[in-house]
Amino acid sequence: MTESANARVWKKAGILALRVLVFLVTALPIYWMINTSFKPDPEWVTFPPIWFPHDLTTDNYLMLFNPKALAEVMHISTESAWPSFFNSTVISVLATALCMVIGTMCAYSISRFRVGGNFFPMSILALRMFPPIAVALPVLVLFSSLHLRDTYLGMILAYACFNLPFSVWMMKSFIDDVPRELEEAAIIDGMTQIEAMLKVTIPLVKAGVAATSLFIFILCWSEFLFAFILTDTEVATITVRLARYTTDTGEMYGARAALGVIATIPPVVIGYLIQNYLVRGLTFGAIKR
Amino acid sequence: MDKVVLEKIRKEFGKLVAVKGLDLEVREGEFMSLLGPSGCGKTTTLNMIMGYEKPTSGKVHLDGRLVNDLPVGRRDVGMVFQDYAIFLHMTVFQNLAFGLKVRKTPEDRIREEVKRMAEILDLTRILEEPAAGLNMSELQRVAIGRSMILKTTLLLLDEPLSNLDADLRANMRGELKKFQLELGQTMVYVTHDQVEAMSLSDRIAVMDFGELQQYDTPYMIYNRPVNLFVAGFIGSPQMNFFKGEIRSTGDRLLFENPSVNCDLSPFRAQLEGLPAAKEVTLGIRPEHVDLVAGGAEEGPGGMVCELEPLGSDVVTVLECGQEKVVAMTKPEAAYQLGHHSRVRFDPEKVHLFDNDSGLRIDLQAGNQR
Amino acid sequence: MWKKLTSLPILMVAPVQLLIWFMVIFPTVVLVWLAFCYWTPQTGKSWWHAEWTWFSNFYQLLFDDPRFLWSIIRTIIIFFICISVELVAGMIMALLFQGSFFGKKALVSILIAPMMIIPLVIGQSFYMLFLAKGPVNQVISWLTFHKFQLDWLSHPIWAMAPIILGEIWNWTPLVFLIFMSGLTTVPQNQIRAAQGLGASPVQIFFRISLPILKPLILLVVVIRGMEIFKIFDLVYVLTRGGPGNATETITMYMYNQGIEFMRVSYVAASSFIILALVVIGAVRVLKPLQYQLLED
Repeated sequence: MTESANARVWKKAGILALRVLVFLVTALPIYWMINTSFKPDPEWVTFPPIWFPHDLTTDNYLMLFNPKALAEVMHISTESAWPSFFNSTVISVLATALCMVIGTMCAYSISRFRVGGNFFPMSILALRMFPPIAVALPVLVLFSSLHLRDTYLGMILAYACFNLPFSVWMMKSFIDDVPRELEEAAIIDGMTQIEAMLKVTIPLVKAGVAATSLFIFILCWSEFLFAFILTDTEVATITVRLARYTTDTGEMYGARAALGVIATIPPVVIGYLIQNYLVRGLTFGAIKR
Repeated sequence: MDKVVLEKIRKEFGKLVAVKGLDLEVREGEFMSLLGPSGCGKTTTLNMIMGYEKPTSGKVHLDGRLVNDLPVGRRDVGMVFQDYAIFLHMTVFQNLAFGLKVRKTPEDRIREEVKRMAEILDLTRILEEPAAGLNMSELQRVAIGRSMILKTTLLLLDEPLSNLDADLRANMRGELKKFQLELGQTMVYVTHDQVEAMSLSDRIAVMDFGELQQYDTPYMIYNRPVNLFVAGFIGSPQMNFFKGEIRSTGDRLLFENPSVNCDLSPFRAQLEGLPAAKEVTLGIRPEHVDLVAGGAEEGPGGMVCELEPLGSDVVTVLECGQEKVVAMTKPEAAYQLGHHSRVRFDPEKVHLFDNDSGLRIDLQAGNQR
Repeated sequence: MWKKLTSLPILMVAPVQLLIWFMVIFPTVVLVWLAFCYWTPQTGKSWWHAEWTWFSNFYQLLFDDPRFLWSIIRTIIIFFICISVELVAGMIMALLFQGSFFGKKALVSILIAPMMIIPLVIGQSFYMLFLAKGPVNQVISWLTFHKFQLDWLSHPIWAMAPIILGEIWNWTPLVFLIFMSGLTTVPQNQIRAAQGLGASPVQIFFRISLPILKPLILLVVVIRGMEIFKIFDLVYVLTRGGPGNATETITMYMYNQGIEFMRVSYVAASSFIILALVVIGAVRVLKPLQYQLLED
């Protein structure tokens, strides 16, 4: 009897240890970024590495937004990060809006009318399998000819298109959850199909709309490849800015870390808000927690 | 030796006491039923024998050993679940073989045993079928076979027939009893269906609200119910109950209430010690109520208000004063609604119960409880 | 016919169709055109006047360019390693954190944070972690009692490690979430029955839970696989495909050829090949899945 109690204690300790280990592994990269962002220059690359800044500083963050002030001190010149934030926000918001509007309409049509049978919805899903680079290249060529390169419109169209698998499939799964009988009852009561959709179905999937929109916003915000190829100086998004930091400022780990931390706060916060819908989104509605 | 001994088993779930101090023993080769309404604690008791639940207090002995601390699966007890819990992603063969496979039995032994069990249970045709496509009766046989193949000392069954259609149920009852007798398997059977319990069991343990009410053979439970609950629970249609007084009038001892009465003079000796106008409940089963000719002055009677033909008998309900009296009559007697008749209770078949305790007042033994 | 075209259902999907045609179908046509031509921005002509060269691009790609073929092989290797680790680690996490316990909600919220972080930022973080003087080397030094100072990102083989680990770190939480919810769908009664028949927890996991979760595992492989093959952000930040070409994945190769070297039509041909492979893969993989996804 004592034996099994002992074994049980060891087992519990083991499980706790493993849980702590998983937590540490998860937290390490995040912690290191934050750690580095608050370190001054000399502490960035040391041996042994410094786990908590000896000389806590917010200079790295300040430099992002007010580079001139620190240009002399740091002996570099970089642009402010503000414009890229602005660009990312504008593009992400508008692309999300476009993607949601046309995607929801399409999702409704697929859910209620079975448009395109099985092929059409699956082909939208297949979009996600397309290597973006394969599309980015001809799109670049096309956009150059159409003068859409490095414009808001170009980026918005690109992002709206490539997030369609998520908007269509996620909204489809939400709309599927609303019983058709409710619309049919509304139609019997005299509404047209569109009215039924707008006044009956959409209000019932409000949460789904919010979750899907935020989800797509995250995807737009975090996207790199298309932004990198299709933008130049005018419309550079924050991810492009981040990548450029890597090239033009050389080994400025602190600044890079600071920008990384700031850039990644919106997706993390939003992700936390919609965490109940993450699985549904990332599995295209296949799994409804 | 007793296969199972439960000693003062008690199970609490927070504030709810599911089982209150139960004492029970099951003999080897016995078919024992735990019978009672939903929530009476029978499934919890089963879970404690099996090991899914630990008793809050009390001891569980299996085959002479104290097994309170033995985990599930190590106690040499098998269980058939109410919903069968068949492994749907496996074939029938794999389901039957599971227990043996888990014990690392060699392949050819497994094949032998499974084949034998399949023959007994008439499953040989569907041995290679995926379990997901089976019907209820097949699933049930697989569930039984899965446990029986391990030849455990004890087999527990949790309402295994409640998912089946009526005719299938009657059939399976017979089959089950046959297996049990053939293989000499000790069984504890949980059910809320008294017909099942009465027809299958060597002994029945009637439970209510976590307490054992009576543990006896079907005959005794039917004919000598120990309290109001058992008397009312067993028997269909339900026993008639009348509240009234026992009074001495002259040389007669009478049970009386405004609507019915019964002459209890033959039991004068047993009812000796009762206070003058004792309040009791009289119980009499419908089949022991006689409808006789005679006018109102000769005894209680009333008007037929309900008829329910059952084929071999007719449930006949009469309105006698304030009371409804349920009797069983033969179709040939052809009673009609509105018909008047006198009712007579056979004193030999009458049951008396104390109004406060609900306990039986014994008319046969020479003392009262 | 016209009536059908302007019916509500068709109109509702029209914008999506238009966008896809504009952003995907049409560019793909352009891609195919370019693949059979020779064109770079330096030729001075506009792309629709490019000279037709038949299969020369393809010939060169398949028989004369080991770099292309190696990028495919590398990407496949990354796929297998990442998928296996993610499946196992995700399942272990799901088992580790199942049931309820104090602080579970908060802990899970933190554990899924890696999914939300911008991949580029993850790349930068791992870059710093795997520097020769970085914390990873330090931890290994502690564990092995031996000074360990590998310059990960300059090593032809080990440069893969931060990339693979970064991808795994990024997405294992998703697998964890999926399996965690999947474990709750395993019928409790079957587990109890297996216990009653004498099975140990390990046996129950492998004989009952795992077979029931098979469709979920397949879904995870498809969904993660789709994304792993396109891996780029991490590679760009960590190694740019280096040292040399040691960590060049398909996308990195096409980026290098197309953007750095401007060999547009050549890359178009490689894209065409990759696209063809993707289409075949999509059909093979999505066909069985469609019944699971469109069950209604």
